[in-house]
Amino acid sequence: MSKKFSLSNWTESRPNQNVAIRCGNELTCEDFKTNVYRWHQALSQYVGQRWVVYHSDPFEFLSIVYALWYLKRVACVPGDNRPATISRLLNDADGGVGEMENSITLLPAGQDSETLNLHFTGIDREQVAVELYTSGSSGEPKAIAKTIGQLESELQSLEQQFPAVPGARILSTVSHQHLYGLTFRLLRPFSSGQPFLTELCEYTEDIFNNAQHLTQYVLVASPSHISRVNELLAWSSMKAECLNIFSAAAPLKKADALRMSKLLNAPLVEIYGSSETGVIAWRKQTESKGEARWQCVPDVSFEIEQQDLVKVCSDFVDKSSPYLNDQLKIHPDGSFELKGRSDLIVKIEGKRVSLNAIESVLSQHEWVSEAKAFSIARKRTEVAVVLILSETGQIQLMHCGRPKVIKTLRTLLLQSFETIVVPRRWRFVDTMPYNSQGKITLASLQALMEQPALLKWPIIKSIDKETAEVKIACVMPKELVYFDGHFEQAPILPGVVQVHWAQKYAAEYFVISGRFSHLEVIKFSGVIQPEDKIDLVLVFNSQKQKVSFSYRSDKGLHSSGRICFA
Amino acid sequence: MTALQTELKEMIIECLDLEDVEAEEIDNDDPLFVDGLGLDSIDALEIGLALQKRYGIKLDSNSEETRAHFANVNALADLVKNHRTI
Repeated sequence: MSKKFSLSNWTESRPNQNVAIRCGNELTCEDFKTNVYRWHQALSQYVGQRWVVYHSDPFEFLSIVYALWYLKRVACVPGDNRPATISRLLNDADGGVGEMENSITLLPAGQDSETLNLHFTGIDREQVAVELYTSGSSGEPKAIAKTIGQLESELQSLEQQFPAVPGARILSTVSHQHLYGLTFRLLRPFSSGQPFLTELCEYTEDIFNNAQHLTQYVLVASPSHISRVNELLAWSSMKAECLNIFSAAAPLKKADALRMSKLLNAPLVEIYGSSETGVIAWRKQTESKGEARWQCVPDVSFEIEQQDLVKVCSDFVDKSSPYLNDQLKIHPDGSFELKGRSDLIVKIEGKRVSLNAIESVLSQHEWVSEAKAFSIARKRTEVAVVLILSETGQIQLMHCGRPKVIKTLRTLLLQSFETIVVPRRWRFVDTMPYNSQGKITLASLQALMEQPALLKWPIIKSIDKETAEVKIACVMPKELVYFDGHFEQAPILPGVVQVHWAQKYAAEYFVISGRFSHLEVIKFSGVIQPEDKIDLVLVFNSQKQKVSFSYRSDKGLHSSGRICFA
Repeated sequence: MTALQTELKEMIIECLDLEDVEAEEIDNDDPLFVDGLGLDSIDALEIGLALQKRYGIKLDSNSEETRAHFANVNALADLVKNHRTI
């Protein structure tokens, strides 16, 4: 192993360059040592082997992680700091450090020892460095452990393929809390002497503005940003030289890759890999026809097992799960093409999410009896859900309408998932779209999304309730499922639905002991059409156990009658 | 509600392909991200591009300022108005 890419022995191997740039200020190696030392002191106050680490500032993150390594402890790294994510990890850890509730904090300046009393030695290649948490196919996030040695081997392999130029600055649009960002934004730059900007480039304008102050830089990005680059900025007038653009986390369209490469006048390298395997392969699109094929990076190879299962072989693959969930087409020269995923994990804008996990969180809510989540490609790839509501859920839908029900369920999901992967399209159905083989196919679920969401209840504007009388002011939305009937030219609300609604609302607002018996004096005097503003008035006669109803609007009386219970 | 605000709301709904949202339901002061409309960082990128395409607005300030402009429909409208008067 060349000394050049050492994480354990970095004080000797690292080129003499600053570590990071924060708000335009260079953070030196001494700054880093001091910061590691301060976190080391803070962490030394506590015992415990496993620590959850989340910090949006990569300089702080790296300091915390190094402090843990010198203490021979493990950093458990979640992809986000949603309350549910952090609390689930804390169940199995000794505490949390960084941006989360009850995090341990640095000792106030001055209270820690002034002199740097740490030798920055003693990190062992065999020790577990990080445990990354990512969506597993069971829905529960699974831990993927990486030793220091594995991380170093991966850096070594990358260095052979893409030698790093010391001193070049690192700009990034991706978080270091995931393996791609951890490797490309943080560990590789750190060990090869490339100062990284602590600020994340949230917009492509941030890349442009930050690069103005630089001489040479490397951009670590993802298809989310590359496909949405602002072409109208004066990229060509930029003095800074872009050495390389990296893209990973999701497939990048060839046209987007070429456009970005041209705009920044730099080679764009796509990286293929996963949290379990680390980096596997790379490719560079060219103007020539067709898609460029993937090539393995040095020291990575495949073994094909039965049923075309691909096993990744390298020093840095997670030995407990070396298999790919992607289907590959491997060519005789070793290059390959990707043919899609084969499990229930999907990637939404580069974020890995388990559809099972979304379904299981939804199913635990009292309004939901069954949930089916899937991805759908529209303007962007997004998650959609089809739900069967429980009795309670139905009642909520009737009272509060679609938007409120969806909002409540979204809020629940946001406890555990990042906004990007939370479903944006919802359909409530009575039965799942089973085919003749008794299966729910992806195509049938996706077909439901092609239709507008149909409603089963009027949109309630106000409710005035007295003891025995209730007035419901409402609007008939054109999306009512009942309008979708026989009279396409002139949709009207069927009488049977009007009676059904009257009975349902009556059951909600009055204490009716009997069961439905029969109807009396029913009159339908005027049709109800889409967008009509209606007052539904229900009067309950508790002695006779009868509910009188009437549907009225500016147009006059639409219908009336009595529902008798016995 | 002014015409510009309505126009921006329609632009948001269209360019983000939003379902279950009508322009008149979006309050001018409602936060667009997280709490209110619940948009995410990819949506922010899309809105940025749409502003550039439709109004020629370049987000050349820092992320902090951009975030302030994107806070709600009124803030977006101010951004567009200021750009027009320059």
